[in-house]
Amino acid sequence: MTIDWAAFTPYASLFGGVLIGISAAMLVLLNGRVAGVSGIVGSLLRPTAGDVAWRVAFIVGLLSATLLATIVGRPPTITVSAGYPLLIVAGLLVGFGTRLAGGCTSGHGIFGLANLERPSLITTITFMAAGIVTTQIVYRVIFPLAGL
Amino acid sequence: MTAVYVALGTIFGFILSRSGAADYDFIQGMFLFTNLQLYGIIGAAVLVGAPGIWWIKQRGRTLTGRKIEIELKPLHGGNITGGVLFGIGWSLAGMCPGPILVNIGEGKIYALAAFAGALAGAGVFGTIYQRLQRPFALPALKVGTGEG
Repeated sequence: MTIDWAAFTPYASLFGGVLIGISAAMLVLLNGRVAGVSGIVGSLLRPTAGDVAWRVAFIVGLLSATLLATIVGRPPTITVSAGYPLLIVAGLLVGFGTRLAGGCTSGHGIFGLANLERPSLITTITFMAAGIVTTQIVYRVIFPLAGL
Repeated sequence: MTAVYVALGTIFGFILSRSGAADYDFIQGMFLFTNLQLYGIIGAAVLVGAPGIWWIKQRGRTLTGRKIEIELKPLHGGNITGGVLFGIGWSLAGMCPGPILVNIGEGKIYALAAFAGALAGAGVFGTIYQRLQRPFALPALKVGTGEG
């Protein structure tokens, strides 16, 4: 196992993280609540009056982020990911799991931890561990066995 | 006001895009410990977000003067089970909820499959919620809160 130090850019990471932290705090300063992406989207499945516009606006922003990336001059590189059937199954797990856990990487991992919530710490450790175990099994056991 | 949420979503999505959080290889690298960048980003976001959210809670009001209503997410059985399911899905798809949207915006058509799966998964959760509520000691399914 080697760490790809060339891909580790501590100052850029720090800067990106700081920006995420600031925009997370800004969201709280604006709407008075903590919110993560799975909740922002998920709650639209059961919409309530007066609570739709900001969610849609935030999602529009997320979707149009690449426009900004392109204007800045560095469009993202597109990498090949898992196949479609696997993506749908994985999506099901993401959608169901985040609703059952009450949040995702942003809701528990950033907002919850930043708000010093114990359930968020437990949930974050759990989904990080599950991700680590799954990827380790796929890349270090299944792929080598399959000769990939 | 809506435009501000679009801007926040755009900033959030832009950083997710540029940081590698919306990149399949970066996610696998994080779970394989070969690329530590995303750990640094999440850590920095929490370190900046924590004092920010603390200060906003002290302030007690949003920018528009609304009362800050940060509800603590309760600890329940869904945290661990949901976290495990979400972690597996995150690893397999290489995307958590925010990056699914960012990837769609980046023109990665395959992210639509993960999005469809995630919406279906959230829908299934809503449908069978009443059967899950007692075994997982889930909190009431609130509508319109900013949870997770």
